[in-house]
Amino acid sequence: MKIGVISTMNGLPWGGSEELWASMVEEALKERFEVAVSICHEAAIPSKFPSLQHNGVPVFRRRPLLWRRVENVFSKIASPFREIFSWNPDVICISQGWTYESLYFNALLDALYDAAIPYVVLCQFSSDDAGHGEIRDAAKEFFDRAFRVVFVSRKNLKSVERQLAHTLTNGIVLQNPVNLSDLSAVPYSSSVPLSMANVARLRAAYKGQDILLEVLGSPLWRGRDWRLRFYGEGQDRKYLEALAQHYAIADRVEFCGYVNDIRSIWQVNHLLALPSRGEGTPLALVEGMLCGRPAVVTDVGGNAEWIDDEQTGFVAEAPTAKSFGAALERAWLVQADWQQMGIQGRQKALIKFDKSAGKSLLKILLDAIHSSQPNLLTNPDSLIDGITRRGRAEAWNDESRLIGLIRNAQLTVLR
Amino acid sequence: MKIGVISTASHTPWGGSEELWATMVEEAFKERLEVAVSICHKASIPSKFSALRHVGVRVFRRRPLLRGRVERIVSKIASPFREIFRWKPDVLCINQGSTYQSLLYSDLLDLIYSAGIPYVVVCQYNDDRILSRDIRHSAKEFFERAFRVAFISRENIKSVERQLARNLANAIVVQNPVNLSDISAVPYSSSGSVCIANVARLDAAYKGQDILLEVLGSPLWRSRDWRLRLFGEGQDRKYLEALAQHYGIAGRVEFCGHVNDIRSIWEVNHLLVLPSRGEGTPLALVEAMLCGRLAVVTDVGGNSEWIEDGRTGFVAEAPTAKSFGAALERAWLAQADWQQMAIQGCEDALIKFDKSAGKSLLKILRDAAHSSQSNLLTNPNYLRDESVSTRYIPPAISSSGR
Repeated sequence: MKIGVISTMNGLPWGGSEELWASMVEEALKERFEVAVSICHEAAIPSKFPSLQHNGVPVFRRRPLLWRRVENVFSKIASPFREIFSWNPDVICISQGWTYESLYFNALLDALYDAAIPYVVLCQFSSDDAGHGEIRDAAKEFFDRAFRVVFVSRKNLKSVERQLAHTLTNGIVLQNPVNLSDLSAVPYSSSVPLSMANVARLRAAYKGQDILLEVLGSPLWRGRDWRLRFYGEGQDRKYLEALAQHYAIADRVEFCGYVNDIRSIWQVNHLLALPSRGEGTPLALVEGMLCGRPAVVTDVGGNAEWIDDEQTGFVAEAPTAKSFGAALERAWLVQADWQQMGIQGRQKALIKFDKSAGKSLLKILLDAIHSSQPNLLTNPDSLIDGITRRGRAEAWNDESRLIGLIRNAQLTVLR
Repeated sequence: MKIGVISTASHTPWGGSEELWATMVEEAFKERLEVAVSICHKASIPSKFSALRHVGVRVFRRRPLLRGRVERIVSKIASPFREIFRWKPDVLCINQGSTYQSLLYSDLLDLIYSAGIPYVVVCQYNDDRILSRDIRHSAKEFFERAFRVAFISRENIKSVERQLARNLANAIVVQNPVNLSDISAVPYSSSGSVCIANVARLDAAYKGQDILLEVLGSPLWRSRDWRLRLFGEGQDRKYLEALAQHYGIAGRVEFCGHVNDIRSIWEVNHLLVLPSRGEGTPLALVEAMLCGRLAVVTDVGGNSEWIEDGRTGFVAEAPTAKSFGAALERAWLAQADWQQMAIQGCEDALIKFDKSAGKSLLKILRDAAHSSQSNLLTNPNYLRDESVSTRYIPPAISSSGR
């Protein structure tokens, strides 16, 4: 059985969004499945995924995505996905950082529909914004034809349904794999002052570090004894440094860069602060909980699916200084309970987290292959959606089968 | 005194963001001041602004704004602003729909700086999110050189200061003019079902109507007796119609289009709902309060500067279905108090609202013109900042090159 993976990540070496499919690949190879991967040319696969580097997994690197119309023209001449489709996978896993990313690769959707290979879509992040008019119909079709559309939080799924004005009957929720080999609690540091850690890319538009600095720059917080450490790198480092200066708290804010060893972070910090404007489900949160630390988070993505307000942490209703400030205030007033809350959060996370996230995804891909019917038919919604729709669907099935037959015939000749 | 107005709106015929400067022009015209206006070619000036149609007011129409680099090249050959600068105003009023719009016009800032004319910037809307880093420095300079930067809500100033990592010592808050000639309360309709009205452009990315429909599409709300009317037009009409259908509430949601007569809206509706993701201060809110209706709003822009939660309306912390749903729920449970709350809100609004918003802006422009110092010198902050002042080109040098 041949599993094709297409990561739509573009222009970046790696990211948390890539961990799930990469872990799935490791599992698939253990079970002796064939795997091929299509990724952008900048991708640098971390050493913890050895099979991807050594075990003869074909890694097809794509040219950079071009500016919209140029991409349209260019991809007709030379599709960036031709290698992976010529490799003839039995199932395709499309991993997207953002829910609608695939729609920017014109050649991808066409190739996918033509090939009539069952596919599973992963959506690592969805914003709660309003729908995007121009892409709504194309997005609906893309998701409806998929065997499953995987989200990393229920809230993301709900936002997407609102954006599309359409129920995704094939939408499901999976978890990302956790970066911890040792799952024991990290001893709570007794050092003073209390230290908060923000573990996230330095990208304020998504991660909201600017909101956190505004809160801590208020006279109330300036009069208290605390430290803040940022773990992560990103384009907004200079801005955030300037902002800490602007709010006159620069001496208490430390930029520690990216740290591989998550446990080392929690050896010296007491509280996770995540003022994000949008999330899937942040791994930093699950990892912080497993290490035994409470968190102050915003009610975006899966955060409130993991944190029970005032039991295992604090949830701010909105990613605004007012709302996050109020949550952080509630946290500050019960400092004495932090350690206990951390223990409770850890117990919850131990029960809830998926110890074999890669395997879970692999199972879905196997189901997709074994469902003998073409991907379209697995979606009951498209079958009850009126005659015209059904007519179009049947036409599409016939056509794609035909194209599939021709393609197979061509390949046989070539061989 | 010669007043030049530049409205940076592009590709739209008219909008709430244009009312303030247009009203100011009416006032200036009454006082026999000379006025010239630079607007986009698409602008259609509403008939209520009669002075703007008078020959005494010069209206320069600009070609459409082009895409980033193309605009940069074309504006070097033919600046869309050459007429207004040649007209030699004593003071400039730059009206922006959103805070950083002027930066899209590559030559506008250069022209202002080299002309050395004092200017006032009006920012009608600010997004609470963050800026792309390449515009932060030019935005700082643009605001610091202004005589005043006027915002429509205090909250907007705070976001901009965070976005720029800088205090705006010259920032002030002004109000937009209200579209009501009669400001008496509108009698409360006693019709059967509760009628909810959203008065806003059908642009869900900003106005959040999708959030409202998600709330009303929940089983709880579907079982209640209400009607929703959407007053406004916009690009998202089809999407919102599809969404109402998707949530199974299309039968109770009515799209009424844009309505000029605000009072007629409140003759038949009981409650204003504004689930906006961002705002300056929505005129629809102030107008509804003056008409004697309470509102459920999100805590964005100036909303909570006008509505006191639980007393004159309900404020949702976040523009999300959960948060807005909770606020709407609190409102629903307090139906018996709506009329009383609205009376309270009306009293607050009558005290707070600026009956002569146009005159207030005109006064600021006069102050700017009369402050004998050049715009640069009025801002003490600017002179202290070395990194900026080294990039400053004295007006004398650059204008001689022209």
